[in-house]
Amino acid sequence: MEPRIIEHSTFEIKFEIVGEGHSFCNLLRRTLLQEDSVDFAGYNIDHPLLASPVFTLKTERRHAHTVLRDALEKMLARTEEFRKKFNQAVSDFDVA
Amino acid sequence: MEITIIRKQDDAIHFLLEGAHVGFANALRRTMLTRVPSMSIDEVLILENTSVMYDEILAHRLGLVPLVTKLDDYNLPEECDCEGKGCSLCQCTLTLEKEAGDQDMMVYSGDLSSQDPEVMPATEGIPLVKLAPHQTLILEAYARLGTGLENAKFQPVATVAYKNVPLVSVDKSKCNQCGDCVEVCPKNILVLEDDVLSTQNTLECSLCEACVRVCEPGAVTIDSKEDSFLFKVESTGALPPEEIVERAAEILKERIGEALDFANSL
Ligand code: SF4
Ligand code: SF4
Ligand SMILES: [Zn+2]
Repeated sequence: MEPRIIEHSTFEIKFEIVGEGHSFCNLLRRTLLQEDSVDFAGYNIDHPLLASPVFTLKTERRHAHTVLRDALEKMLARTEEFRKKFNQAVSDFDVA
Repeated sequence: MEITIIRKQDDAIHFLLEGAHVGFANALRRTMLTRVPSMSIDEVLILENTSVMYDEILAHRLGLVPLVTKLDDYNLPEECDCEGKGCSLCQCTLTLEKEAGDQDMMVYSGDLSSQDPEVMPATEGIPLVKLAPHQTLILEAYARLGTGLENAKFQPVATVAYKNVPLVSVDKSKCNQCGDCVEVCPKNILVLEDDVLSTQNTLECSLCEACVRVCEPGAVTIDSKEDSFLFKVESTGALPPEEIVERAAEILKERIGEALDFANSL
């Protein structure tokens, strides 16, 4: 994944995520939309084969980049939680 | 977040994921499909082919044979020191040599012999081509790692799907025990015993709502739990199903980590 910034101001970030598709962007969008300070979060893929998604985040009250960072940290923690609990569930199942 | 394994077999795993949102479930599903690598034949050198099948069709059929993959033993070609040219760290050679006698003969995936005993066709019984008497087939095939993003033959999963957990409820005060719903349910979820309607194995419910349509007093309701998912992961045989899920979670984490590095640099 190679993210590239297009626009960056206090309450708005627009960046392109080269090498990604819906899986990552949709997860990020859904996670961001759970935050109160998010005004708008969405992405657009101009062409399914030729273009990379362009993600736009607009916030109020809090800096856009801190909101983005918080959301990504949350995603990372949840994925790690999933990984751990899945491994645990598999070994519990094998024992039982 | 709660995870419960429901069923586990050599080539399939069913598990329940509770307390997650649909974005996460879908990211996980798509990662298993397109990002978890597996081995597949990608180049074929045909030395002799007197069968009726064209070389390219045969090569295509070979590419679709699932190979047992040891992910730690091989590099993805783009990450290999050889820069993708192909070396023993990122490539495995398989050979096939068959000649039909006086009888016609079917060539199967199991006839492939591999340089690495670990990398073998996941199933031996896949027919590749039928040889007529005295036809010959001699070829060398090169397998490498790749991802479903590049070509579907590299997908380690045959199926990866989820559905919301079904909630089947019966309003006992409205039910007149006519038994219509019991008859119509294709999954035998509803049972009428001693004039009492009850439910069983509700996880199996396909959410078809046939029971709702047939129930005149409107006693049955079908709903789904928005934050709970029933996952079904079926492997092609390339990787054990639980490894596919674990690797997918690791790959997803890696990608989120990269995005976080980017966000931290802002
Ligand atoms: S929705 Fe379909 S599968 Fe589920 S209980 Fe009703 S009839 Fe059976
Ligand atoms: S169809 Fe409706 S009324 Fe008849 S047994 Fe089923 S729930 Fe009860
Ligand atoms: Zn190499």
